[in-house]
Amino acid sequence: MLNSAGRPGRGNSSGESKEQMKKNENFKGLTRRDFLGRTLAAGSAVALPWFIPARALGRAGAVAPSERIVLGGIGLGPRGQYDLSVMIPEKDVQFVAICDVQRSRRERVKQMADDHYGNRDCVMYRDLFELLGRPDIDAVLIATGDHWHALAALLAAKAGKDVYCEKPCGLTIGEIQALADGIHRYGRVFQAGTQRRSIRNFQYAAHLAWTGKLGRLHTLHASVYVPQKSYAWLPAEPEPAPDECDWTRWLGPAPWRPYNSRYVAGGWRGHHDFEAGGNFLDWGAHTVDLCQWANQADHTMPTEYEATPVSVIARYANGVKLICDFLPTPFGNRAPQYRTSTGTCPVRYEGDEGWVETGDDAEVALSESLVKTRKRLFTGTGLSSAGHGRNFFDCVKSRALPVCNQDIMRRSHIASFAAQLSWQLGRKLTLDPVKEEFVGDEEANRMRSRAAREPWSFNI
Amino acid sequence: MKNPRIFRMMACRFALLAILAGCALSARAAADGGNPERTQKLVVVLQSGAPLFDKARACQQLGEIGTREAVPALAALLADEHLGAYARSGLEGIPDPSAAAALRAALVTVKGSLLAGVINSLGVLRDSEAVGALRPLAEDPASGVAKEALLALGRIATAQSIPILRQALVAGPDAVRADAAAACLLAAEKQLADGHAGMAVTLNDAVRTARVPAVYRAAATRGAILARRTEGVAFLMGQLRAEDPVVRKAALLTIREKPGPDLAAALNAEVDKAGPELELQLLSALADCHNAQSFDLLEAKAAGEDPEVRRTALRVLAAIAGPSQAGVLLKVLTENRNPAESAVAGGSLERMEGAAVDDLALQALVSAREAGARVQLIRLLAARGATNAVAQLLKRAADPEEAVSVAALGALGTLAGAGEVPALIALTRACKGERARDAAEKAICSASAGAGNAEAAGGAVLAELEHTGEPAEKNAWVRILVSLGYAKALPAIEAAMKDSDAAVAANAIESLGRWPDPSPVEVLLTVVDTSPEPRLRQRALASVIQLAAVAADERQRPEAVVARWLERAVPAAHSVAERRQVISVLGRLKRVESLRLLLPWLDAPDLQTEAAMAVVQIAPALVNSEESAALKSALERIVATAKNPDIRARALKLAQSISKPR
Repeated sequence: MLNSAGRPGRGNSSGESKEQMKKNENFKGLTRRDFLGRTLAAGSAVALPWFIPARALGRAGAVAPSERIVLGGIGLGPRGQYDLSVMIPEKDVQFVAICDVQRSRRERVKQMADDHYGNRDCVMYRDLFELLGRPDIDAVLIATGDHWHALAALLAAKAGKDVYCEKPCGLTIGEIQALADGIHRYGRVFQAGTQRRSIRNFQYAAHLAWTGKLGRLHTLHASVYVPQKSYAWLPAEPEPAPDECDWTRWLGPAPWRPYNSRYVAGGWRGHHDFEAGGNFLDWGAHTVDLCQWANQADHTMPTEYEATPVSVIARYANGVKLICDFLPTPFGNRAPQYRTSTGTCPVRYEGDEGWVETGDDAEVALSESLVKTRKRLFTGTGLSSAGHGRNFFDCVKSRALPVCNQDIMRRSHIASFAAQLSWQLGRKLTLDPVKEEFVGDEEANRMRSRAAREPWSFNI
Repeated sequence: MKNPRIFRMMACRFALLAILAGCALSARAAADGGNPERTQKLVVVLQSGAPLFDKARACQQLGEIGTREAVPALAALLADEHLGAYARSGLEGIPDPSAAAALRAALVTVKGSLLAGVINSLGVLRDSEAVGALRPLAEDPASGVAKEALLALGRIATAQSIPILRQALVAGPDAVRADAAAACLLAAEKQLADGHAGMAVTLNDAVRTARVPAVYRAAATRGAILARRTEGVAFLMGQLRAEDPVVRKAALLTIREKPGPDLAAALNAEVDKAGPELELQLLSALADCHNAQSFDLLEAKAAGEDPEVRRTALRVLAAIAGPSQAGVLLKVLTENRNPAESAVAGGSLERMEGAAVDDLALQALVSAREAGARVQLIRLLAARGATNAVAQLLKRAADPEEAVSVAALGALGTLAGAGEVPALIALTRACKGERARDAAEKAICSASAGAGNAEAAGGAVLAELEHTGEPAEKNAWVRILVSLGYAKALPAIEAAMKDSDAAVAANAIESLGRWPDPSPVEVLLTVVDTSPEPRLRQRALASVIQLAAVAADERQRPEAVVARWLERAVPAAHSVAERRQVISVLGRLKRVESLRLLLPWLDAPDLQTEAAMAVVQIAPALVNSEESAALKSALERIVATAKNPDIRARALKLAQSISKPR
């Protein structure tokens, strides 16, 4: 891909890895207003014109002062701390509390907040009900391990809080359904952390697909990790003191297993009981979502799913294919499925008149037949979630639907789970996109949900 | 048996029946996802002394493929502190009444949180037979599971469970009333889904009027609107007029879940009757629910006097407008209005589909009198990719108003093709101002992109360069030729480096720094070495560094060659900025030559950190080189002096990895 000076784009030379989360928002020539204006057509309702204060929406107690959104955090590890780092500078947001079952993380986030505000006011909690019970908190940022996402979000909604929830937003299809229904029931604003819908190069690629520039769309490619699943338990270690790490709360709705420090240090990934779809939804939650968007299929899902050794091929009722390509080296060479230069989380949309491919490095690859110039269109990267957070906060004030609201999340997540299940079961699955059930496959239907460990429940 | 033949016949019939029963059993098991053979093996695990992990996994697998035969073994684990939830996972998955029966039986044998879990599972299964057993638990807060029981009854949502919920809602203790409300909401949703809208209305209305937190009343308002179906419109409008702001807001938010022509008509009618606050909210709500008359209403409001009403109406109109509203929005765009309002209209027009909108915008451009309006329209046409506007844009590129001509040239950068290059060259020649010339250059480059086009355009632009004497023109042609990477122009550009006009020479030298490959490096180095003009030497140095960086990153030349260029360039790098740029490139070349060039800068205060970083970057490739001793020494210096702890740590690790010379 050539940049605007006629040179291929390249990474920076300071040694910073591309995977590191960047805050670079140096999008050439575009302001945030442009993003919001241009994404308006993507399905969200126009804003109601003012902030509805806490008391008016039924949270008993104090009203948030003036127009400021009071934010709490639940389970902010590395990703959550990054999210907070791009949210906390927002002038109309005040971060006041952190809940985490690990003391070190509570303290680190408190330090972040206190350093930012120049005070010692951020309160720490170990019990999320204490945080959710605060009437002054309007919204929460949830970035726990996958197994807590849906339940924490539901509890927050029931407590009258709006929710920004990292992806994947649930561990099973059942959890996703319960979450989406609960958000509707309690009238909350919900934003899934699939931030690429708020990022310019992905918006551009989708726009090409929507506006017929690619001709009739026939194939979408969503990159995912090579799926894997582990059921094994790590060796048991002595449980730390609850204040250090509250293992019982860390497990939450996940079934019991003995403590091992690796889980809580991020080593929960890949474990069936803690990570959604093995690791399928780690990228799949993003890339399948982007393909749904490009296909203007947010109201539906593919109906057929069939695994191959290197992919899952899904088909929409109108014949469009969605191929989830397994990438053995997501951070390295991704040829021949994708251009390595486009960066991580690549997607590709193919029509009968052209194609477009893009990823987190913000390069946009275009077929020669389609456009006059193959130049690098953006100087920013596709990693920043700042615009996505801003969209959430604007919607908290206006009560409009965010770009990745609960209905959009529901369908893209269920499609991802369906793809993963077809891989796991090793057979073709047919999904009824209205009933959200597998047709003629009760084993697959049974795998749509699991029991929550007591006392936790999704009956709320 | 008296008759052996009859016996044989009956035996055969029994055998046949057994076979048929077995097939039916297998067929039923397969249809419900069950696998009898695997179930049997997993049950053996559960009933053995197998480790906890094996039993846990067995429970999970039984939830996926277990048959009713697994129920007793799973039920036996419901009281187990660690396996209880696994067992419930198994039971919840088995689609046989015996699973629910086992859970019901456990209501009297398990306690505490395990009991809560069992109740939750009965709710998941919507087990109507559990209502009787759940009732006392729901009605007694002292049971410790009243909340779970109420919510399970809410999920079950039968004619037997609902009265319990309603009783708890109106007459239950405060401690359970909120849970009863939540349960009623769950029951209402189930009733509505099953086609019993009347009961759904009743339940939602009960919660709306109960003494419960506002979040439940808001949820019930929404539920009551949705459950009323067609009658919901009048009800919703009534809620919009409610005293309670919680109710009003819930009603507003529900509009998007219940759009329809009747509601749209009702909203249209309500707008003018509403007070100021509600008027704005209703206008906003039209985005989610509108009809043809809504557009007329919005257009009228968008032209009104009240700025807040106008802005809101315009925003909504812009969000939902189609080609029929393009004319109105074009008027907003081009009238001398608030820039924010123009931007809203422009954004909508950009997104609007259809060639008819391009034609309208083009017509508007042709007839626009004001320069500002022309600029807006030109930008709109560019954003829309309206190639039908190219001819008009070429005319506007020669507009006496600079803003218009610049905008037109900018738009041509997006829309023009190879066929327009000659006209663009003529326009470039005619440009008076720098902004216009800059835009014209970019337009030529964009229009020429693509291998065949670049060649033809390059030839035409080179001819211009060779024939003009005008310095500003020369500079423009040089920049364009560099952007096109037109190799045949290189001698002419190199000649321009020696132009008697200093600005032309400087421009040529600077532009060559952007050449797509390192071909110009040698001639630039000659300038670095020999030019009598310090400014030109400086520019040449910058260009050499730029080309070297790209050559290193993209492996356009061997690293040894790039290192030699930098070695020649270093003596000319005097300023801190220049030296840092050199260091940055040296840090990409894993050569001993790089190391040698970096070493002196480890002691320079202004360059220490950058030089240290570069050394650390290239060190791994050099640990076994002939300069390993010098490298080790350098790394040790870095450990001793570097301010950055990360650099120090990396240097230490690398130094330790270098073995001592024998």
